[in-house]
Amino acid sequence: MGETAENMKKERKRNRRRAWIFFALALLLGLLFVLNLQLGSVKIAPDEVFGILLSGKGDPAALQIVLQIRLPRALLAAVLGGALALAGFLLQTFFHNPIAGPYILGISSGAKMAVAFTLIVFLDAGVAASSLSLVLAAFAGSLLCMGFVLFLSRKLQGMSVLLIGGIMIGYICSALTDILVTFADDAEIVNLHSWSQGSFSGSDWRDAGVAFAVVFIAFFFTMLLSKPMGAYRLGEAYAKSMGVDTKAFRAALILLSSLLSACVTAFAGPISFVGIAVPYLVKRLLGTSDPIAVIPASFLGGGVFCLFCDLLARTLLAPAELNISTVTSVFGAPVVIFMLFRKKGGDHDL
Amino acid sequence: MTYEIVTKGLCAGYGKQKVVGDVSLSLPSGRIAVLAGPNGSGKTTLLKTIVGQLERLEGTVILGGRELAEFGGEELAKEASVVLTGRVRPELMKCFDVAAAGRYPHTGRFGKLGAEDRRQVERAMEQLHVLEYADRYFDTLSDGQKQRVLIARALCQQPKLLVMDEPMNYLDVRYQLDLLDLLRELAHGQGMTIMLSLHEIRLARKIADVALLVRKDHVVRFGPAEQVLSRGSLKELFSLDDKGYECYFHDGALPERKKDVKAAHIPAETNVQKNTSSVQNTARVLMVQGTMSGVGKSLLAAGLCRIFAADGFRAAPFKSQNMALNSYVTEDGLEIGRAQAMQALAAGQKPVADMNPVLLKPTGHTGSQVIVNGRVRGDMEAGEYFAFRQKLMPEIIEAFTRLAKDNDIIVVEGAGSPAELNLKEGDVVNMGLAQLIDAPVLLVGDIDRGGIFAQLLGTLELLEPEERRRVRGLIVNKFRGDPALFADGVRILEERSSLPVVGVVPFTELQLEDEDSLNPRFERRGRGRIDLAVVRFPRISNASDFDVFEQSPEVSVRYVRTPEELRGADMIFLPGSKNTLDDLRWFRESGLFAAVREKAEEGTPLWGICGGFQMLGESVEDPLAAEAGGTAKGLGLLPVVTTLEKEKAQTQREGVLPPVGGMFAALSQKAYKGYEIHMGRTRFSDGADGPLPVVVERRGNIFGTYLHGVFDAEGIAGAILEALAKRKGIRVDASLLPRDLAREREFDRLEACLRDNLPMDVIYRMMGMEPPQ
Repeated sequence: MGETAENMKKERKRNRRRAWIFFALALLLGLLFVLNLQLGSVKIAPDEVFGILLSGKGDPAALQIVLQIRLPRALLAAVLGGALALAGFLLQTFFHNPIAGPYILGISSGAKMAVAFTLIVFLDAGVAASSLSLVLAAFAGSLLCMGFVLFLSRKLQGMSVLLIGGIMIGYICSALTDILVTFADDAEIVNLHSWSQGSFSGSDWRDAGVAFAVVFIAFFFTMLLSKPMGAYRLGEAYAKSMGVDTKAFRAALILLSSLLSACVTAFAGPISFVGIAVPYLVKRLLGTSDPIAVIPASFLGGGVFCLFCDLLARTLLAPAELNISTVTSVFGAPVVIFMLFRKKGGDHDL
Repeated sequence: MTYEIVTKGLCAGYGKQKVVGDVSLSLPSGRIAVLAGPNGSGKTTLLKTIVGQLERLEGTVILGGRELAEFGGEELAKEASVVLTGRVRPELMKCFDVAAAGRYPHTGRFGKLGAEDRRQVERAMEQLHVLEYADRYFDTLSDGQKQRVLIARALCQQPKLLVMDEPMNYLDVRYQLDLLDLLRELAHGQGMTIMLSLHEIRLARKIADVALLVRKDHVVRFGPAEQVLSRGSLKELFSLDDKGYECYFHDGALPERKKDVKAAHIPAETNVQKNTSSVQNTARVLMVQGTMSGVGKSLLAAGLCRIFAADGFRAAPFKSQNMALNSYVTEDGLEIGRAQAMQALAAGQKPVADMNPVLLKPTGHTGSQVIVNGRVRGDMEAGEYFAFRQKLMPEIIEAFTRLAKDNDIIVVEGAGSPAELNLKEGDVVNMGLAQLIDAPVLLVGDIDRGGIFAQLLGTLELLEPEERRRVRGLIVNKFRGDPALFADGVRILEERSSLPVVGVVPFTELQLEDEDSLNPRFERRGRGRIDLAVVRFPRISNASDFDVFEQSPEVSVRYVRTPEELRGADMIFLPGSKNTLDDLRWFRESGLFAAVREKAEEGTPLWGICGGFQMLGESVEDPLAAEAGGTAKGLGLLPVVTTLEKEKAQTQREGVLPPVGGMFAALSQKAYKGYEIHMGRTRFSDGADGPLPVVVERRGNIFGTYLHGVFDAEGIAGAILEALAKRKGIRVDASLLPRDLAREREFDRLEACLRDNLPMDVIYRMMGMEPPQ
């Protein structure tokens, strides 16, 4: 059939385009990664960075900085950025709305509250909280808020109400977190305060390892969901009619997105806008919302975005550090505002 | 493969809320079941429950022998697919991807499409005519296009059971009909079982094998469609009264909310003698209908008009809808069919637009230009017009009412046959009109074409009883020989039909312009001493421009389609065209284009009129796509270019011809009279400015004019014939009878013929009148 041949040709062209986009994102990720290792209050020459990475030898101070501080931090920024973008994309699929994201729906705040609570309890008991226990606490907090958001979405129609509900939940959780912080010992506050604003600082290899494990497992399962996610774009009823077990599918979306955003919050605090802006930009770049392409591309894109923002956070006012959320907001919020303008046409009700 | 759907005691609803209860039905494979019912009666709920979208409250559903509950998600998806009513708004999804989603149950874990999947998707998209949008984003489509993509999605899922909730939503008339056709093929041809809910009951009647009427809380009826969708049960289901039913199902007028008896409706029982018609009608009416087109209705109506006028009545012709390539332009610049104009002239009246309120001029194989009350309403495809014509009913009635006010007798002509059973719904030209204006009908058959008994008796047989009662007499037309020889035939017709044969009319050759260019005029082949060739464009218009030449016995006017036929022509005409660009392409492809140019260059005189004039120029441009769009090169024999426009220029013109050069110099300063009707503007391309003269001449033998009827004025055709004879070196008698006189003579012949063969007193009494002495 002539049409088929022609469409095959189009498909090949599309695949080539996708391959180029992936290649460019990966290249950008590598470049930013190296820059992140290189730049900071102490600048290290690129060849020295490569030397340290390849042989593990070099100037002891530089060795210490690169391997113990910057490398885990950069890895964490990349992986958690990817996780955030992924969490955003999952929520957007779930709610059929490109403006949904873990931060906006208050899920990050719930995780934050649970983490703050855990930290204070553990510190009071004189034990250091383990990475894994923090992730679990954040996961519990995420699910709690998610449950509340779902309850709202059942009761209230319309996306705007849902978003306002999410933002209110966020405020409540932040308020509760503030109260907790107020009652905490002075020594804990400094640490807690910078964390609760969102930051990749103080990352170590143990954090990076746990984050890696959690995020890649979640990524793997998300990839497995790409087919039903594709069908779900036509709405729940059609998805069901095509054989998607919508109940299990929706539950999987919720669990995965909560796990991913919990993981991010546990290690870096709440980080705003990445979950909305990155999938949106990636979809435009690819020209499709096909999950099989958008999932990995969002993951890469989230990494690129967070590496870039963390680089700015560390270097702009060095030696002082900006909150990561401050930087992501500067870049992410305009994208969201732009989206709102684009939506004025009205194909998604907000 | 049999695939049966059975439900037993099925209750459907949401949560604990029961919406439809106790549905037990059985639907064999390859059948179409239509669900009908008022809004909110639970059609959607029932459909969704049958395909497992909603949980059953009670009862069972069995698909192909297996209970619904036993199916896994993807298993069920291979059995049944759905088209739903909710809006689908995927972000950044191309139409192909939307349709391809239907392959979900057939693809692997990551949903990668194989070659077979692609083929299925493309086939389905092609069936719904949306393949061309494959690469477009879904949200850029119109609602109707989206709906078709969603239907394609459901089809490429390759279900055994297709369930559709209001699939006609957003579809225009053409695609609705197309979808009906496709569904029928899927069910009856490929054995797919189809269940759909439809609000358009009229469509439901066309495809449903079985029907299910759903009323709040319970299924009212389930069974064969023709029984379930009957008048009685529909009236009850939708709480309709008779008027409402007539309005929706039979194109009755919309009943008014307040009580008003003047609304036009079809009287259930008709009485011809008393004027019980719902249309305000002050004139007497007689309707002439034929067993098919070309039986001579137009001429009979003209003759009757003539007779009534001669008897001292004001008589006028009327035909609600005429399909013809030729139109006549009235003094007001309005277009009507030429036949009605001819009939009006026979009655000694000026033709007016009310005599033919709807005129269809075919512009292509399936489309027509629709002219209402003399003005162009636009081009429509047949399907489009079919829906549109129902809106024309009031305008037709108004035109008739106006005409009836000014006249004593209206002679109404039907169109085609009254027994075109598939076209009867919404009929405004034959029996539908006859009932509306309460007209007695004369049914005319054509014995020359054979099968006169089948024609007349068959037509009567196919009419509904109340329609048949309208027919008051039969006429056998075009009899060759002595009518007395047909006495046996008359007896048989009268016995079988219980109707009088009011006349056997002999075959009469009359030089009168009749309905359209499909008439035998084009078949004439004999050559006169002066031979004129008219290029027979497929969309020829105003072919009667050349009739005047036929009044000379020395002249033959031939309509040619092939280059060979041009041989020996003393002069060539390029006539008007309904679609200049289409005809220009045909002209080129037929080889006539080159042949005509060759002959013109050899010196043969060539006239282009209207469309033909445009073709003589250098190019015809259509920037606004008034016709086909684009630009076409013309013959390049006249230095003019034409730009087609949307507006149609139509004017009557008279005056004195400017100096004409070349071989027809004798035409200079002759008085002319005619009319222009065209959609293009033509200007000189060689820098000669000023307005275009009435006749443009170049090279001495190439002439172009926009003026129809230019040859009709006295002396013009004669002068042309004399010049042609001179060129040929022969002498001919170029004296032509003046047009009007010739026509009057023909009308008189017609009148005499009818008076001899039709008992006029019987006809007057049919109309409820006393015959004049």
